[in-house]
Amino acid sequence: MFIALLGLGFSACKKEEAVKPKEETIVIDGEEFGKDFVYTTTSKILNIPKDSIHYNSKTHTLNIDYLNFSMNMDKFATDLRTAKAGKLWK
Amino acid sequence: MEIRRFFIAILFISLCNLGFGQRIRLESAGLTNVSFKGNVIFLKYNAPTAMRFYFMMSKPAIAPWSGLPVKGEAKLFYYKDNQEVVLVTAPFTNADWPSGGTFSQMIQKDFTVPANTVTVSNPVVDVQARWRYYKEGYPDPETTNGWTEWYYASTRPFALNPDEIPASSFSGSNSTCGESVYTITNPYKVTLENAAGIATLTSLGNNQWKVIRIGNAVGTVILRSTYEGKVFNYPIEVSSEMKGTIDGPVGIKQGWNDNYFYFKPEPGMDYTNVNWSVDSPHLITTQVDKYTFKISVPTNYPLMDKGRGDDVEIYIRSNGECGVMEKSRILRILPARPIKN
Repeated sequence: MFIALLGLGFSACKKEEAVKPKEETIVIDGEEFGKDFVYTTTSKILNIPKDSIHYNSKTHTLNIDYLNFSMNMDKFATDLRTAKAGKLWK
Repeated sequence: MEIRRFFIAILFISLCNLGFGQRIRLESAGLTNVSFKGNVIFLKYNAPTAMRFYFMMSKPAIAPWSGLPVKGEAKLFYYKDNQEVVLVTAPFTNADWPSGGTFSQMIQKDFTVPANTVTVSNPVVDVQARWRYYKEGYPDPETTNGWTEWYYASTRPFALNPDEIPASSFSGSNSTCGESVYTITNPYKVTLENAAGIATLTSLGNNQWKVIRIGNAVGTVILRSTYEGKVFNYPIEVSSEMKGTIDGPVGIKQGWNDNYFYFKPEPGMDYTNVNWSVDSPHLITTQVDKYTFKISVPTNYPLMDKGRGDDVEIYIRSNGECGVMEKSRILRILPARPIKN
C-alpha cells in the first residue's frame, strides 16, 4: 500500500514536470518579454486590474475591453524595458 | 435598437500628433458607464446622466523629464451659443506616472451631464476633450514657464436617448369619414402612414394635425410620431361606417310585436338625417325616434327555413357631411313553432 502511494506520488511529480509549459512571450519592438511580465507591468502603469488587460497578437495591441482601449504594444516598449531594468519603480 | 450599457468607452482621439509643441500628451480618452450606439453617447431625457471620464497621458521618459514636475488638466466640454460649457475637469500630476515611465495611469473621474443638456429641439451636442499643462523649468522648446495653450482631441456626439423620451399621445376620433383634427402631445416627426389614396395629412400648427379623407376611400391609416427610430402610432379608420352598436334581440319569433332596437353611438359621435330599414318586405317596422327602431313580425311571416328561421339585416343610415353612412346587424326571424325539416 505505502509503496503504491509512493509510486503514485512519483508519477504525479514526473507528469507535472513533463507538461510544465514554456512561458509565453511577446516580441515588443524587437525584444522578447514574458507575457505575464507584460501584463503585470502594464497593469501597474495603468492602475487597471491585470485580468482586464490582454494582448491581441493579430493586431499587436494591448487591449482593455471594458474601456474599449487599444494601443499598439510597441508604444509600451520603453516602459517595459525600464521596468525590466528595475528602474520603473523607484 | 441595440444599446449596450456600462463599461464601454468611446475614444476621443488626439488631433495633435504633429510637432513638438506638446511634450505631455493625451494618449487616450473616453467614457465608461454610458449608454451608447455606435459613436453616439446617449443622455437621459429631462434628467441628469452620470458617467465616467477616463484618460491616459504620456510624457518623455528621457532625462530630465523624470525629475520634472507635472501639473495639468483635461476637460470635456461643448459649445453652446459660442460659449463653452465644461462638463468635467480632471487634473493630472507626477503622481499619475510611475517614476521613469512614459505612460500615466488611467485617470478616471465620475461626472454628471446636467438635465436638458440635450432636448427634443436640440437633440445633439458635440463634446470634445482638451488638455493643457504647466511648464516649469522645462527643457527647450518649452522654456517659458506658464500654462501651455489648450490642445484638442476629436469630438463625440452626445444625443438624447430615443428610448427615454416621453411618448407621443394622440387625441381625436379613431375614425373619420371626411376630415378630423388631432392633437398630439409630445409630437416628434409626424406623418400619416398607409395613407396613399386614402387620406392626407395637414399640419395646423399648435400641435394639431388634420386628416382628410380622399373621396370615398376606405382603409386604416396610421397617424405616426417618430423620434430617431422610436415610433408612436395612432390608427384611424377611414370609412363610411357609423360608429356605434345596434342593441336589441338577436332573434324574434313569428307573431311577436314591438321589438325595440337602439343605436348607441360611440362617445362623442352623433348623426343627422338618420333612418332605419330592414331587407325584408314582410316585417312591420316603425322608426320611433332617431336612434330607436321597432319591429313586429306577422304570424304568417313567410319563412324559407321553417326549422331554424331566416336571417334578415337591419340597417341604420345617416346622411351627413360625409354622405351616406351606414351600420347594420343580423336579426333572425324564428318560427313560432319549429317544424323539423
